Amino acid sequence: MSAALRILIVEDEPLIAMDMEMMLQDAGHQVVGEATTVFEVKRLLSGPQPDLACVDMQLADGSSGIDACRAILGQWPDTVVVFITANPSMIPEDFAGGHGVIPKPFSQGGFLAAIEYLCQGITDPPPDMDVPSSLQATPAFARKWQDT
Amino acid sequence: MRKHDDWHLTDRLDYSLGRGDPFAAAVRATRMAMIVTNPALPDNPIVFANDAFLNLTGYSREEVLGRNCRFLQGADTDRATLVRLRESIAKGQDTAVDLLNYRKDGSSFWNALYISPVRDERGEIAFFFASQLDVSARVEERRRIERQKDIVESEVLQRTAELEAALTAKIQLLDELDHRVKNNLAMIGSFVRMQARTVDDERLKRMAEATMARVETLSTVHRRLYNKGDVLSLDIGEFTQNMLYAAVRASGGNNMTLRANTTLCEIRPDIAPTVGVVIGELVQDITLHAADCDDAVEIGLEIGCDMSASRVTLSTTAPGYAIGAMDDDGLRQVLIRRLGGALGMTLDESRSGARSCLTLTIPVSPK
Repeated sequence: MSAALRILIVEDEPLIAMDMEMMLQDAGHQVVGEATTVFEVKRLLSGPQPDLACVDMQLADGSSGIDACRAILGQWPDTVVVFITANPSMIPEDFAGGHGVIPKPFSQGGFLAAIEYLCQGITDPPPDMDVPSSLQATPAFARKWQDT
Repeated sequence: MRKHDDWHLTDRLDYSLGRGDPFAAAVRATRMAMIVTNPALPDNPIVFANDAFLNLTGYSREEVLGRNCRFLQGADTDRATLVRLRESIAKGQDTAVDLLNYRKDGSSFWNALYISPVRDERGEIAFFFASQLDVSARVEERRRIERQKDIVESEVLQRTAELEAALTAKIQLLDELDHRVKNNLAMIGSFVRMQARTVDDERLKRMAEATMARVETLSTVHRRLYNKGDVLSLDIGEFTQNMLYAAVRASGGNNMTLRANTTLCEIRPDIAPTVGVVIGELVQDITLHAADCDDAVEIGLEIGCDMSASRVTLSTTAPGYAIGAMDDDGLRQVLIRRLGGALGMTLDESRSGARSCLTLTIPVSPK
């Protein structure tokens, strides 16, 4: 297990948010904030910077995970954003600057493998495991350690 | 008599009296409108017009002789065609055009005009010969057909647009439904995972985790089958291999290695969930047993595919394995038997040296 991550969960379904929070905590990570709308995301931007943000595509109040992603990256360019969605076709071609996609419904094993891969890429790049089939990493993720 | 006055002589010919040139008489008598112009005179005037021409245009012979034939043109005569006609005449070439012309009374007609230069013995152009044919009926018919074609084409375009819009709406509905099914599966998975976390009793925890694995298997099958409005088939080779990797990772069993030999082997979407669940049970049974083992274990996967059936062979080198080894409540074996039986699947256990094998045969046509 790599070092613990500070993680922001942006998900409008409370059950799934709670499930993710428990899985992430069991895996030793720290959930530093939860939001269900873009508005709530913007209120969190004055708080501590997360290493990773898990962002659902369709948020409450009809707001969009794309806008949440842009807001997060606008405030914290170093944060890694992964979309968690049951509708991957809604993600624009450039992934709005996001670093990966975890399609819903995910399995516990698949979710944790994806988080482990992202964690290695953030704390100790490059990852020493193959990209798990539960994660679709975007070119922006590999650029994070190739540029430095 | 000068050569250019020959036509006046011809005008005076009287065929009925048997005088004159029979060819000139034929030109005068034909139903085809014909004129002759003389380019040597100023403005290339008409020097001969037959009766058919006078009938077609409504003018008298006195009104047309000595005039350039542009008096036939009118407001809607196509300018580009006239330019083409003028250029051909200037170059001394034959030319044929369809031109909108006007009669004396102002009515119009489509004139299939043919103009040809007539050269003398020195090769100089002595006259232009022109014939006129009223093709209004033909042009009107062609235009009517074009108008009808336009109408049909616009109707086809409109109908196509309607069908495309209906198809788009259907695909959006399918996407929306798919999205909701996936979200519901995600929520069911979350319920069961949270339940499994709250249980302290080891046996109950394993049972909750088995149910969680079943829900996750269904979710995986659904996610692979439905993609952007398309219903795909399921490649059970890749599916089983991914299930094995996930199960090995989830068990935390560092004693396991995988040896997979898979080929593309697709099964129909209608039976994919059932087949997926049965394979999931076998994967769980073998990997949970191996994780319990102290020795290093090799898990094998072979896929076979022919015209009549697909075969999934899972094997383990863990000693003492038999199907149902990790089946606390007997549910696993019931599921394999009932779900598999419903699709005519058969499960065979065999041994090959130290290796225990399970072979699941999935007939192409369910019984």
